[in-house]
Amino acid sequence: MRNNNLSSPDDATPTADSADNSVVDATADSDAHGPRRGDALIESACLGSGIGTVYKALDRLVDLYALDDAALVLDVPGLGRQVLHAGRKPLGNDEHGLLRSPPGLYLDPPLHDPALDDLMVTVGALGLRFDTRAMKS
Amino acid sequence: MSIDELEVELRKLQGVVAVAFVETDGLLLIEVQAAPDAPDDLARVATGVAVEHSGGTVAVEVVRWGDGGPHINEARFRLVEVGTDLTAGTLLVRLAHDDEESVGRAPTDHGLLSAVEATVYAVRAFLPELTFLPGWARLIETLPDRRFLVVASVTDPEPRVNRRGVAEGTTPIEAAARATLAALNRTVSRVL
Repeated sequence: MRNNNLSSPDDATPTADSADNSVVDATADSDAHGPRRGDALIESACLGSGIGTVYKALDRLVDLYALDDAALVLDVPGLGRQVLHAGRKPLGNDEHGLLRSPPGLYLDPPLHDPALDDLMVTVGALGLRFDTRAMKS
Repeated sequence: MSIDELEVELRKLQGVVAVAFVETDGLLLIEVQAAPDAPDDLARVATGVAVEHSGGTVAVEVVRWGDGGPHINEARFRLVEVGTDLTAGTLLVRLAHDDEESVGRAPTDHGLLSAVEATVYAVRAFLPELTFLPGWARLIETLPDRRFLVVASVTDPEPRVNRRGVAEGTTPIEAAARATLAALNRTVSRVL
């Protein structure tokens, strides 16, 4: 994955394959025998760290839309440019372009949803700002 | 200290842009991606933070990038513009890859299929060995904000493989070009 291999907010929508998967996953979200997968994300937001919640949100996106990969590029006051890669995985050789990419949500395959991009960037910046302040005290 | 706290502490170090963790055989490997302005002693400081907070066997690898980072070849084609040559009656699709551009043309009277054809031809200008042929395109939805959602299909006749893509655009033609690109990009990215 590199930034070109992921979607930028201006990229096209993914292939039909992934679109099909997203439909399947949307229904798979509810499990009568266990908690919704989104519950872990909400619990993390209520009780966990900011960065942990952001990673859970990225993992949730990957899971929900059957993505190959996801990354978030942020500009955080006090930290500067930050890149968060789903699963806390190292960036591959073809993914280092993310380090100089503008802030945004980068998905592979692309998923054109500006609102989702904005929300993830917002949650990401908020989470990192929360952690840097909480861990000072 | 949790791994979350360790990561935040590492990200607070000057010049740190990304942090990743890999655990193998009880060894926690931490990869720190550093910007050009990272101090020279970043590896020492990062290792100190990691050892202090991990409480186990840990290795830190600092990866530094020069100004602007390494040049990376793009793995996808970008749509630059879709236009029409009225005098020739052709649709033009302009694509880019790295610093190069190509233009594909197709007769406008093929409707949405024109965009698929012109996009395939523009990709073929970069990749003459491309075996996919234009298939079809269909407008599947007009979105409330006057954007158009189109599905496009391309076909490789020899192995009889079809690839379909979905994309939005401000016009059905633009959406068809983007959808064709979405269909092709996942295949061609392997050879770019």
